[in-house]
Amino acid sequence: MTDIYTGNQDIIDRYLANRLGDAERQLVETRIVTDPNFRNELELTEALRDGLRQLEAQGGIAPLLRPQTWMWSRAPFAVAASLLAILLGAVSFLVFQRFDQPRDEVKPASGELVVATLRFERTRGDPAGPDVSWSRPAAPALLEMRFDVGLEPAPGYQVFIEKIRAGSATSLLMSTLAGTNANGEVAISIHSELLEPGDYRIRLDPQPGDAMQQEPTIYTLRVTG
Amino acid sequence: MADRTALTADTSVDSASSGSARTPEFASDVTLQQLRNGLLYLLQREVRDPTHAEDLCNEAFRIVLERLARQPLEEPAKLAAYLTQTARNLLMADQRMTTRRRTVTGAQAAIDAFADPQSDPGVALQSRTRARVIRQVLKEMPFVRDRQVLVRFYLNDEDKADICRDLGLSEDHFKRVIFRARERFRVLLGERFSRSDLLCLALA
Repeated sequence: MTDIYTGNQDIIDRYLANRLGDAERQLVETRIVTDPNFRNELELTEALRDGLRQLEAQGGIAPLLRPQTWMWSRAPFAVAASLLAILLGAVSFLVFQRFDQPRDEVKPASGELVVATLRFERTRGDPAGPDVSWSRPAAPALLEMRFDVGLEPAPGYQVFIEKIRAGSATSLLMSTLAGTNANGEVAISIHSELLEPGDYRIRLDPQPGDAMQQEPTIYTLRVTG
Repeated sequence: MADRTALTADTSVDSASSGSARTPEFASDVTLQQLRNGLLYLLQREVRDPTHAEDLCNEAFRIVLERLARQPLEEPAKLAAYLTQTARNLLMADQRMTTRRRTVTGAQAAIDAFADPQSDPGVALQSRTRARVIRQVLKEMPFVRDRQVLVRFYLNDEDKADICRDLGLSEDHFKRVIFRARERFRVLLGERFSRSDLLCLALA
């Protein structure tokens, strides 16, 4: 349905922007006459365009496109923020100096946590290979994984990470509930210590919502190193 | 591809004389009504005046039905296309006639810009409601860049590829932004849209 929807929307947008040739325009107008659903979608798009025109006439567009850091461009705020940041840094340093005690169980300073990000997209190059391969760093790392779940994401997803054993058997490593971020992606984090070298299957089960029933999305990850 | 039948005066068919002519069987009155609704919508987009649009719609149906009474269409499945084209031809003829009859005063731009005090207040109210709704949609978008996508595409009619290139977006991201904005707009404005949508008036 998504592909059909996208195709309809594209031709509606081009029709309303007068970007169709005569033959295409005739086809669209015939469809407007015969297809109430298509007509509804066109009407929705027209309403949206009309709303934008009206909002522009009211002078309401420009403020919404202004960068939201306007407050920081004012010199007094910038200076005050800088001073506050310096003060906070100095206080933190002093507090750290006061309370820091050598402890045998603390890991060496070289054990800093590295943050890595992997992105999983729906299009695959080689169907036989893993979606993503990751070489685990020597230092402990927090791995953030972001998953593309398509144009109509569900309200939330139950994410299962399973390690693939010999003979296609799997063992569950982790299960968590995640929503979608502003970019329509599902993001979860996992410590690299939990990901031993090997192949993993990651399944995203959509949670029920107003959207149509969706199938789970499955990705594979290969960890090396 | 003008259909001369729609424009000539040779449509004065005496229905009594076409007794044996075959006409395509319409599935039901519902089909005719659906076609009429669709054609009326198309004409109202162009002429704005609902009465004028109805006149053109009725004229288009009259021409097509009389034509069918004389000679059925070779491809009955193309009835809707024939009807649409007939309406389009009537519209063009009507616009040409309006232009020819216009009195030249040298102040046409001023006359056209003059606000009609009798204009439909419902239409103005509907526009204001839509503006309020789209303002909320834009405010709910956390990234200014995504707002720019919506404004540039639907208000400025800029090309999708140009917008993606300027803002550094993938086509997928562009589609996601547009899709979500439309769906949010749909939810806020109501499920069904028409010029007489009572929900729009209620929201105002």
